[in-house]
Formats: sequence, C-alpha cells, structure tokens
Amino acid sequence: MLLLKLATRNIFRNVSRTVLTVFLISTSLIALVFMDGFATAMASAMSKSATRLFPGDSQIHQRNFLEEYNQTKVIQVPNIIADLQAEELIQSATPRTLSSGTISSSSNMIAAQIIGVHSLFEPTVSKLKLTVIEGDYLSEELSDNTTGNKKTNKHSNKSEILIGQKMAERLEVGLGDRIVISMPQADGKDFVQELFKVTGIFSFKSKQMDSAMVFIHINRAQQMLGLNNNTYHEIAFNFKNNTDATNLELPIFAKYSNRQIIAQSWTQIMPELASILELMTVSIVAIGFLLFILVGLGVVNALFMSIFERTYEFGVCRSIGTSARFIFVQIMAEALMIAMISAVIGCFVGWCLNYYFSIYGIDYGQLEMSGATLSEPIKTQVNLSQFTIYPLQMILLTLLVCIYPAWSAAKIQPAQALRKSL
Amino acid sequence: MKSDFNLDSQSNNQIVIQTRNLCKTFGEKDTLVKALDDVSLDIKAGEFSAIIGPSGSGKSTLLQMIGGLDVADSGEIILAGNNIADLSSGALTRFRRDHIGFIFQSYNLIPVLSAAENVEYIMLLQGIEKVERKERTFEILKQVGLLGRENRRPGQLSGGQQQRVAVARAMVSKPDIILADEPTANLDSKTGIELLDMMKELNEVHKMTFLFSTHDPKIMDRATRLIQLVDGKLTD
Repeated sequence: MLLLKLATRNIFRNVSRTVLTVFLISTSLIALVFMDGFATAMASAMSKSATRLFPGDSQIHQRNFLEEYNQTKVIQVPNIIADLQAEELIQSATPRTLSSGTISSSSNMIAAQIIGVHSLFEPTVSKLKLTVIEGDYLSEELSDNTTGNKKTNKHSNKSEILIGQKMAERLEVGLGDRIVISMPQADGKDFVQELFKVTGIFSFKSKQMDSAMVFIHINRAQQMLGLNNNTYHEIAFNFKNNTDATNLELPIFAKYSNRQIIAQSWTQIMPELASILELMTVSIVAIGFLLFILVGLGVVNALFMSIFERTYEFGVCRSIGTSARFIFVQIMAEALMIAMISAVIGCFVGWCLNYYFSIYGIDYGQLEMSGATLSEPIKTQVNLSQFTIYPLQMILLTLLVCIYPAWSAAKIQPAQALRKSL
Repeated sequence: MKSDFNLDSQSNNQIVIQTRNLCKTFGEKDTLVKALDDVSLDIKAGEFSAIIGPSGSGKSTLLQMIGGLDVADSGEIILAGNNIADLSSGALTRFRRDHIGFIFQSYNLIPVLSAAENVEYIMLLQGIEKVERKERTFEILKQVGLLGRENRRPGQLSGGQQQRVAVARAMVSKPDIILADEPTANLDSKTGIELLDMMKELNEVHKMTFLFSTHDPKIMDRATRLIQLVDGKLTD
C-alpha cells in the first residue's frame, strides 16, 4: 500500500516529465496499433485486389504453362469445373483460354493478350463484369460444354469482345466499332484472323490490364485456337475464405495436382506480390522494433532523470533503513504505473483511430501497387491482439528497460548521496 | 519488529558507541583529505553529546561512520558490542532501521508523504501493525507538538515544523541512538531552542543516546558532553 502510494505520488511529482513519458509510450502504442490495423487491411486489400480483381485466389494450369506460355499445354480433365465448384472450401471456379495476338482497328494495331472467358462463371471469380464501364458484359454462352447448356441465344454473341479503356483510346474505337484479332492457333500451324464488334469497354484501373487485355467468349477462343471445347489453359477458382488460398497444406492443392496439372495459390503465381506483403509484415515488425527502442530509450532517460533528481532522497531513505530491494521495487512500481497509464491511453486512442478508419477508410485514389489496384478506401482492421499483445509488450518492455535504472537507484550508497549537503 | 541485535541503551553507563582508531580519507594524491585521523571515542548510553568543530573538521563524516552509512578506511566501530563491519549490507540496513535514528540538517522528509506518513514510514518498513503504527504516530506527533498538522506535506510546513517531523520520524521506532547532523543549522534561534529543549526532554524521558554534530552554541550549552574535532582529530 505504501509502495503504491509512493509510486503514484512520485510519478506526479514532475507532471510535465510524466506527461511527456506517457505521451512517448502511448504515442508509440497508438502508432503500433494503427499501423497494425492499417497494414493488415492494406495487405488484405492488396491480396484481394490482386486475386479477386481478375486472377482468382488460386489457379490450375498444365505444368510449366506459366513458364513457357505454350498454348498446347492445356487442361483436359473431364468435369473439372463441376468438381471444383462442388468442393466444400471453394466458392467458385471458371475456365479460361490464354493467347497472344494483335488487335487491329482502322487506325491502329497493338499487341494484346486474348483471354477466352466463360461469361457465366467468370463474374463469380473475377470482377470483370463489374469493371465494364461502357456497353455490356459478354452475353450468355451460345453453346456451353462446361455446363452442358445447349440452348441457343437468340442474339448471336459470336463476335462480342470486351476491350480495355486504354486500348480503346489507342485503337481509337468505341462501342459498336469493329476490330480484328489476329493470332496463331495453339499448335502454331495456322494463323487466324477474325472480326469482332466492341460490345463493352472495361476499366480495371490498371494501366497494364486496360491497355493489353481483351476478353472474348471461351468457345470462340477455343475455335480460333483450334482447341476442343472442354480444354482450357487456366482454371481460376476462389475459396470461400480467401485466407485459405495461402494455406498450401490444404488437401485441395494436392487433389488437383498430378503429373499433368498443378493447382497453385496466388502466392505462387504472383510471388512478387506475396513478397511485398511479406515485406509489409517485416516492416511492421521492424518499425515496431524501432518504436520499442525509442520508447525504451525515452523511458530510461526519463527514469534516470527522475532518479538523478532524487538521489539525495534515496540516500536519506537508505540512511533511515529502507532496503535496496524496496527502492528497486518502488522504481519498478513507478515504471509499471507509467506504462499502464500509457497503455490505457494508447489503446483507447488507437482503438478510436482504427475504429474511425475502419468505417470511413483511407482513400488512396487509384493506387496501383505491385499489380494490385487499390481502388477502394482501405478500411483499417480492429482486432483484439492490437489491444492485448501490443500493450502487454509495451508494458513488459518498459519494465525491462527500467530494471537498470531501478537497480542503479537501489545501489545508491547513502553516504555518497548525502555527501552533497552534509 | 526489531532486528535481533544485542543493543540495550537502557543500561546506564554502558558504552553504546565505541570507535577505535577510525581513519577516513577522501580524494587521491594531491587532493587527498584526511577526514578522520585515528579517532577513538566512547559514548555512554543516554548521553546527550555534541561533536563540535569548524566546518570540514570531519564531524559529519564521523556521524556517517557511526551510523553505518560509510565505510572507514581503517579502525572499528562497535555499537554496544556489535562491530558493524561484520554486518552484511542488508543486516546493516536493518540495524540502522531498528537501532539508529537520523536527523538531518535539511530535515530530509519524503516530500510526497504527509507528516504522519513520514513518521509512519519506518514502522511500515519494520512491519509494525497498522493500529500500533497509528497509535505511535499520534503519540509522537503529540509530543513534538504537531497534532493538527499531521496531514500536511513537508512543503506545507515551516522549517521548524519539518524538523519536528524529522525528530518524530527518528524517534518513533524507538531507536537506541539518535544521530543528528547540525539539526538547528537551518532554523531560527527561537525554533532551534524549542527543538533542542524538546529533544533534551525526549532524551531524558526515553533515555535515548543523542549524538550531535554542530557548531551551534545552543546545543553546546545543553550537551552533557562536548567532543572537539579538528582536522579529523579529536582534541582535549
């Protein structure tokens, strides 16, 4: 009780120093809490943006397809789409063909990646449909081998093509204009040229995607490539919980991998993005470490100042019979109180900040980063660990760095301390 | 509770403080100062003695040595038969807590504690029960004339009042020896006389041994024995 009374009163002896120390610790805690909430949200937004915008959480290809881009390396597994869609962990799956060619208009000609997509399944995996800013998304498949739909659309969709906004500008075309796709067949033996009508213009808010990608119906793409109807270059799929995509231990990856095909997470397909996200985590740890060092130095400095000012007083206390251990515990109690006050303030302000930005978000405009476009405001994440682990670490750190000043105070020799005035 | 040392100041004529060939130097080579030079001294229980001498003569150093606050270069300090050099640091701290009361020139109260809490502090360290602590605090504050001011912090008390609290603090644990280092130096003449009379009365009532360091004639007038120290040496 006496200890508590002494500690409480002592920390308020020099109010401005205590306030500064509390400010230092709590500000660092606020920074840590906010940074954690922001970085977690940023990483989540980036990975979601990068995967859910178009590629999907995971993809299946024939082995070495991504390395060689050899269009004869196709996936030819009966009912694979239906099987994937039936998986418990999987939310959706869609097939794609991937090829390269040129797009020509009456004014210009540019190289492009021609992607055949399934008009019904694609929107369940990517945001292609949502990115159409002019015209319409691709109409329903004419003849769907994937689902067995044999109905015929009354409107011919054979020549529908979606092009990016930047590509439209470069080709100087608009809705309804005709463009020509020229590309080699998958086996490279023949070259095909076909006329398409621009029915939709999309914008992924990514310069690269908007200027170099076009989307056509998958059966049309298969015909042009000379592929069978049930062969694909890529199957993209999303998990119900997107964090599952990073868990390579899940049996689903092994189940859809064999000698011919391989199922891969986005972390394997886009290792540079995975590295950036990992770097962000490391950065938090590094910044946290630096903050801890700064806090540590600040607290040690403040405590040493306090002890230095009270050297004579400690000398008196030791003279009248106060044990070194009591002095040590007294200083530690003062440090604990400062740390706890700081933790409460830091947690409260940190929570307010994180909560505010978890609702209103931080708008980055149209930031493109490592292939991921942050088109929506980043809403910070609030989680329990921010208000348990960080404050606890901060309190422990404060106590840890205070051991030395407290030990120094406990070791004060009464005679030396008193000699100043005696 | 008191520590288990053999110290009984109640027996008259028993020597409670004994120094033998005490030497202490400060500094090195050119700056070497002999603070105490072969000081041998006996103080009997219940004495009201004063060490006198000019500034720098070694009075405070001698008091510190006797109080176990500093270590002598050579010589012995024996308090009622206990050689304090034989005590460990912890035991010496307990010894000071239980058997020696200090009164300082600058009062040296703990500024964040009230007058009563300052008095209670040592008893708390001794582990004395709350009821007894409160009773003893009340009693000693009454004796030093500070009832009604017990909840004031040192900053709210005059110099004389602070020194009365310091005396109360030194005496409340019923020590055998009170060491007072120029206790009246910072007080005006009237307050100094009041304080000395009070200490003299306490000395007579409680039979505690008082040892002052001073150059205050008022103390010299009241002291039962004067010990002269010049340049670290005792003189006749």
